[in-house]
Amino acid sequence: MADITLTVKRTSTADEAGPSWQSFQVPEIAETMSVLDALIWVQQNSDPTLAFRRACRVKMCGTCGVVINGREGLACGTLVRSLVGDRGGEVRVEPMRHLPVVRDLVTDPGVFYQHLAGAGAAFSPKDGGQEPAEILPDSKERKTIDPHRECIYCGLCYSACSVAGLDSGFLGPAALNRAFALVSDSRDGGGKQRLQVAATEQGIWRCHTIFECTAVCPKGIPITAAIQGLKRKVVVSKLKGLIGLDR
Amino acid sequence: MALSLRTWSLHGSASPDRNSGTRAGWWAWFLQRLTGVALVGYLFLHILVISTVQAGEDTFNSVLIVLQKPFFVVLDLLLIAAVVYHGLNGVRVLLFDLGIGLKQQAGMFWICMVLTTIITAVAGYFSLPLIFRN
Amino acid sequence: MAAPLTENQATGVIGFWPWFFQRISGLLLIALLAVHIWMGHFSGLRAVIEGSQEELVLYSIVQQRLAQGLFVFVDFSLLGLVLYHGLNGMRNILLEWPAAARRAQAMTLGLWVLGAATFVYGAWALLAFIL
Repeated sequence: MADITLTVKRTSTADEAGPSWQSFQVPEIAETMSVLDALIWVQQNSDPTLAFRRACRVKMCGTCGVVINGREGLACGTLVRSLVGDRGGEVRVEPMRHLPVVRDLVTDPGVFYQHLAGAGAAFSPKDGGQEPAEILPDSKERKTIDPHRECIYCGLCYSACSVAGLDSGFLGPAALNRAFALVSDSRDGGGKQRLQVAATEQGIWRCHTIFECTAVCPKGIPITAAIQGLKRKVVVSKLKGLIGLDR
Repeated sequence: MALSLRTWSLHGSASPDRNSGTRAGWWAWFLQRLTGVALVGYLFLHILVISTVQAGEDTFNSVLIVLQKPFFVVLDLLLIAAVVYHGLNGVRVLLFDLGIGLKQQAGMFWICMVLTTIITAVAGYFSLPLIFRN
Repeated sequence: MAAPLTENQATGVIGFWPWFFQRISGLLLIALLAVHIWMGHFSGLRAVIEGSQEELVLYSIVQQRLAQGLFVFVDFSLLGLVLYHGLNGMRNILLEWPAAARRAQAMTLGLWVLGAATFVYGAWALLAFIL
């Protein structure tokens, strides 16, 4: 098995010169070695000061999101083999975009969480709802909401979103996906107000259907479809209101 | 133009390999924005050119003669390409708004590109006598 | 960074109509531009190729076309719609600039004034062919 070159974009808090790229030679310890394995190997064998985040290591927690060879991905969920083949080669890792870098590959997700809160990400049960509420597994509603409830809030979609990069006020894919999941859920009592919070010029109307969020989502959530779903809900309610059918 | 450049600098070059591979949705949006800004610029020039008629028939004709020189005919072809792409991709986006083709978005971008090329090529063929006239 | 919206700030659906009319005007523009470009240029071009017309498109030809009823309707509609569509598109791009977004209302008003002035100017130019 060939060595790989792991090139990491490093930012030190003390270093005012800005980020710099540093390369490490890493042995391919197994065919199933992930980018996270390579980062851990470097930390243990080459440079203990290399900073990155990780927790579950099995694509569940959404902690280790980085940009790998220019593409957002979970370090634990991206196999080195899938990037360089069996002849070795270079893997470039950098922190997620549109978020302030704390150190090396560690970013500050504050803005991302702020937007989730701004879009009203918390579930608010309907008054007088049946407890426990149920949506049957084969119901249409269940099929609609299920994919959108898979979100692990890793922030990869936010990093991939070109609009979020242009306008930090944009709510972003994850927040809007969450809004769609709740608006489509009959157990949620947010109702029309959720649509109003999402349907602003820094909400759904700012999305230009670039599909980058959908492309990088490690859970395969059709995020763009969720945003388009919100748009259609607003269009329908607006046009109904116009001809007086909304009451 | 500056706006397109800003878009490009923030996203095109954010990473050296940012756009490696097929980023159909990103290119579709970038080209939509680029052609949109260019067409707005053209619109104002177009109105300005047409308005020279108010200075008299002779002035108008002298402007039209310049604008039908081969160089401007080639520019007209670029204009056709921009208009056709912007319109086709506009339909693509409109279909997304209706919930149609979200999973085929990349293929739809390539259809836009191919149709734009074909239509521009046909327009170019018919413009040959204007480009290569004596 | 712009502060995220709170539920109290969002009193209604903001930005729906510009988004909606961008799509409506876009659709109409496709139809009108097809007529404008095809009849305005290619019918003349065919005449050039067939040798039934002078090589250059000059005032007399443009005037003949523009004075037709259909063209009067098409061109005035085009002028209005294309200005709306184009300037609304510019507004969308400008709103991504924090400095512009902070003065969104003033910017929107400015674009309406620019659009209205350009419409009057363009209409004045078109009238020369009709009157």
